[in-house]
Amino acid sequence: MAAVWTENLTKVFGKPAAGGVRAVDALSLEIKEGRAFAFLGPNGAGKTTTLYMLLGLRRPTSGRGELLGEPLGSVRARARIGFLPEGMSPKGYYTTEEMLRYCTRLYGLSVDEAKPRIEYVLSALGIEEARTRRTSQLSKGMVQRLGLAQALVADPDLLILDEPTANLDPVGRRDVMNLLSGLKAAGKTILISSHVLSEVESICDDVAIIDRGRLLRQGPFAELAGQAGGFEIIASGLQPLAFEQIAQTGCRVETRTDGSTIIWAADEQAQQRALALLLHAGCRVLSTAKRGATLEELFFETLGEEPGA
Amino acid sequence: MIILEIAQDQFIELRRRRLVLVLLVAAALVTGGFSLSLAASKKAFTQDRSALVEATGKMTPEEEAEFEARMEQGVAIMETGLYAVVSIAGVVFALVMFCGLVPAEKARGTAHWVLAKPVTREQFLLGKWLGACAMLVIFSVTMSAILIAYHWRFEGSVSRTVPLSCVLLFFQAMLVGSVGLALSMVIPPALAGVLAYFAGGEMLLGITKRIAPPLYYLLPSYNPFSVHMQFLVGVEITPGRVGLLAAYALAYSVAMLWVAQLAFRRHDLA
Repeated sequence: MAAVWTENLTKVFGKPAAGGVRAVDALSLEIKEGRAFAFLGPNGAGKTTTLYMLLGLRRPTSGRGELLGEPLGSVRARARIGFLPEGMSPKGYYTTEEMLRYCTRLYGLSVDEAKPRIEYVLSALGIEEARTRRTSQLSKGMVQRLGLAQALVADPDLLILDEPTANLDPVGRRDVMNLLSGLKAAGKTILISSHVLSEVESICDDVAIIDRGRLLRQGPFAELAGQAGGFEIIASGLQPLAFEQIAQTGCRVETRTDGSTIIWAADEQAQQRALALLLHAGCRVLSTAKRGATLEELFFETLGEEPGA
Repeated sequence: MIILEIAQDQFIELRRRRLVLVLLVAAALVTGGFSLSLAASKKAFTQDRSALVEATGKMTPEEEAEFEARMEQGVAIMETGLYAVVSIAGVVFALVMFCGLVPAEKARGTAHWVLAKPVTREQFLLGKWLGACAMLVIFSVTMSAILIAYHWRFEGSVSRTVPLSCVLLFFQAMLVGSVGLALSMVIPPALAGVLAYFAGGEMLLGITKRIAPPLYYLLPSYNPFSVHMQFLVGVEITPGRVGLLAAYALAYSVAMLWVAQLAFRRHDLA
């Protein structure tokens, strides 16, 4: 069953007839229950607008959809959703614990129900020490952790997280990704919008990539990575001239720390051309293999950009 | 209940907002200062009278009546000023609170995660309105305490019109604030405050009565709530009158809340 689906979801800012800005254009998504879904796109692609439409914070211009079997933005659906907005802004006059208590009350949890949940999120997010500190005095990283805590405090079935690791240090990022992996294993559905592709890749099952409001690619990550993958050649003894010649064929060429060279070819033809050049230059081919794309490669390929360009 | 949770949160927020506290303290100081100066003036009148009697011998009944009339007139003008100050302070206090209720929360970004929880926009709006009304009660009680203290200390008694006037001041501020809240859904808060202030004033009502009678009946009327009129033109403040005006203010505020939620439903959070 789909935890989230949308059909032709469109958002136009300004009057459509007067050439308003089409932030989201006929977006059709499907996120299955219990899956981790990476929602990717460059800045201004329409990711946040889409998330806001799912939650009813922005009204779609057209299109429809459902969240956990309820219409978009419905209160019944929101009772089972935890949302972390980008750039979380807590209520500065509460302490960390007071703010989480306020959130549990908004979810309709009783005091007895709320207490263990608050203890759990304080511990899971590593903010127990900040429980009595005013949220206005927390560091950006702590605020981000508090944002995640308020999203998790009612034990939601669906998590919608906009840049969950923003402002976190490497340890914080690792902890959050581990926490999310645990939640996925517990059967929660997770929708993540993030720019840190390497982190998202570690937990996502499915991917959707959008640009300028339009969906460019959607599907299981393993499948898309296989489609977008290429061929890898590892060789040694590559001279600068041959390096240049191979690079000019469109392959990516990098020298590794052990002095060998790794060449990525997008397709079989490119691989054959590179191999011919290597043999002609008298290099030693150590290995060749077909490999799937990383999320970053898939992202850049979908957008028609070169990684590391 | 979610509405009460939001109301409580709003009340806590307002209680900690510096501008609101400054306004409350400033209104209390001005009212207190005005009360003391009014008491001093009354004392001066009495001393003037004693001095006049001493200088001229016994006053004739006509002179005494004329002096009494002048004194009463002077005191009435000053009491009018006192109640007008309290009334204006209440309205400004209400406008500062009500016009920023939703725009401030949207601008800070806290509305994003609150409204992503199982909270309807109607609950959000009503809760915030109730929270602001609770703060208005604090304001009204503070002003009442000052006015009661003044009457008790310098007149030796407190007539029932004093607390009734304070109740009226509360409902006037609530009415103006609700108009401001509705306007702040469609125009910037500062402009909403200014427009709400003038929306039910004599000048605008006079113009609309002449050029657009239907609009005249739609606009709120603040004039009947003017408690200082009791001193100027002798409008008596009775429980019946206060009850009627309170019902009017409540009904109009409910209508404004309905308009505000209609507009708020269409809001996109940035």
